[in-house]
Amino acid sequence: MDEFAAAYPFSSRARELLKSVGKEELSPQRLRSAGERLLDAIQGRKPFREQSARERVVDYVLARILLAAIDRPSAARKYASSVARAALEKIGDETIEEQFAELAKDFFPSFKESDGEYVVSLADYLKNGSGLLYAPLEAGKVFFSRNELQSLLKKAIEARVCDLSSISLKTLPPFVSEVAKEIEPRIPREQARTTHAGKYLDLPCMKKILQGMSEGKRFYGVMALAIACVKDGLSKEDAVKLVSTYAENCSKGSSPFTVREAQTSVDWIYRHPSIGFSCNKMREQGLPVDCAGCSLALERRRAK
Amino acid sequence: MTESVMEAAPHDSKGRQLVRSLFRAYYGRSQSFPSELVRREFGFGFTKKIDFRHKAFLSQREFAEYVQLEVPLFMSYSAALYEKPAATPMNKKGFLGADLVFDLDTSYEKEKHEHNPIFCPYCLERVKQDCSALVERFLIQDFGFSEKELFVNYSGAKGYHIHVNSEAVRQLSSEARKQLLSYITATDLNLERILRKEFFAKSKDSFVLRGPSTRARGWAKKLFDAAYAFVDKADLPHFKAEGISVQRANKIMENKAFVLERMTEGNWDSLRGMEPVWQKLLRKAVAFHSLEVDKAVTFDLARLIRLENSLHGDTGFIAKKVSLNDLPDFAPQRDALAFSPNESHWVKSKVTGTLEMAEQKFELKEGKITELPENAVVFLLCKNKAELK
Repeated sequence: MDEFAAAYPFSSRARELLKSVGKEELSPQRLRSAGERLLDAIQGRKPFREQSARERVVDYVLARILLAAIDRPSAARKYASSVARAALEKIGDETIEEQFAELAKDFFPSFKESDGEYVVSLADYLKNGSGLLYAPLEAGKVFFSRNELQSLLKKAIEARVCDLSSISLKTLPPFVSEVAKEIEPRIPREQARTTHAGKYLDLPCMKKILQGMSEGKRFYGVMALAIACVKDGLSKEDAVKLVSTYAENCSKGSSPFTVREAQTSVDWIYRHPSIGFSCNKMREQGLPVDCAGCSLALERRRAK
Repeated sequence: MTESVMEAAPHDSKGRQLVRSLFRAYYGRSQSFPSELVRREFGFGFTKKIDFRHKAFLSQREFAEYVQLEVPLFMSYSAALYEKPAATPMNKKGFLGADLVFDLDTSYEKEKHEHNPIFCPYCLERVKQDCSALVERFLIQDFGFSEKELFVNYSGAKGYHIHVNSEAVRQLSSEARKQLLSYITATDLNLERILRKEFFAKSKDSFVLRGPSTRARGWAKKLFDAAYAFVDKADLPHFKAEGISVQRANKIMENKAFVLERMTEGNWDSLRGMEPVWQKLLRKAVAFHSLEVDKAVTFDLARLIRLENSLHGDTGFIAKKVSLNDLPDFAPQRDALAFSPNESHWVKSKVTGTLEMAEQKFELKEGKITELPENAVVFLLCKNKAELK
């Protein structure tokens, strides 16, 4: 098996090679061992033994099947981040310019190097990139330094690895969900904590909300969190991370509360930063407001 | 374009008949078709902008026959292309891609001018200026589209639509289109990311102000150019107008060459205490360069947009396709008229005011019966501001 495909199992070249991998690879035993490697990757551990190139690529495929069956976005994100980090470390360590260019072209077909700068077309950038507002954009091209392109590439790799929408669980044998159930409890839960916690996010009610709300309160919960994020001066990116964890912790109810819904609320609140933090509103909506031991309530009582 | 429910116009049956017959005659002599018609979904309005949608046609002929027979007041089509444009719900249509469309219809009613509530050429002219700015400053200069890939369409009422017909944009997701909007509107642009404080010691004043240089691109370049040009050209009254003190203005003017030279290197701190001045100038430059766009039209991939060269049932004007070269001279009240200037009808006005059309001014008085040219009559009937006599 091609070394490039093994090093970058998410690449189009790997996808081509995987066509030769048969269904015989999908056995409970093989899936369990791929699950172990998935756990290693999520927890930042190096694999116990050297693997062949073929094993590595098949592991990647099986890990994504498991992640789809586990259906926990934070686990997929952690795995994607680990895969992207490993890929970029390889490029960085070995400074394999050819591999770097091939990988960049895989995500940005218009990728070019010109006068010491890296250039991608606007359309490619938008398909894979993040914000455009601060992008060095000119005549339909976005320009980068090596470091900037690497970090863009990392995001693009993460997004590709995280995107499990092409995996149809219905077509997979029943043992996939059994193995997923065995692996799932061993994946560490993402702690709903932020290094930027402040006056509002540290309130007991906010901590309770972060643990997830039941159907009917989920929307008000995310609004309260987003307002607290604004008041505590969190960047929008950090706020999105926080509410993504919240969305995962919420009960699924008749329909799940998606990360996207949570993000939309953050977008809206960040566009209306003057909205105040109201304990009464939270109480009205049935959110867990607990004034005993609340520093904000104490502060307000003193002010009166 | 807002799809708010509108009252059917015109309201009197004689007026309705006249408008319908004139619309039918127009479609008899002039029909326009969108590109790849068979892959588009259509929506038609008889009492409001869209009464029903999910309609599709197998050929231009079928479409033309339908229009001739039904004579809709409003015709819209999807920016998106589908495998089965008539299928419902939306996810059964088989999305193939979508043109990129921008809709400009900012209200300038509050801007200082003599606003005409019946029909305001000033407001339309301002939206047209926005349209030119969007094309030049963003679509061509920044996004790199060629003039050949763009076409402008007067909406037939208060705005303009800009279509980008390029394979490169067809597969852009709704999220990617939002990024383009975010760039154009600059609502989330944080100047602290453009003008950064680089600290060299722990004290809060120990920083150098770093900003864009001559090598900047994107918004950073727009802001660099604006600030550089201001410092280069401004004299005392200009500084005063920006609220900059005489003392500071003099200091900047005395050291102009030095300040400008440093700016080209990205050092915006050649004179201490300049931060508030830059903030003011940059905020103004953002306001000048950014544009207001009806965002939903761009990011909503299921949106229907007015068919070019169809008639607008709220004005009787042609939603005219305008070439970029003709745009500066285009005036809807002269160039988007569909009916004969030689035909006239008697109407009883329901409003008092002036209507400017086809280089003529018509004084209207509520309750007064007047003979007006056909274009003005259709406009007033569609707006329900007159009834046919």
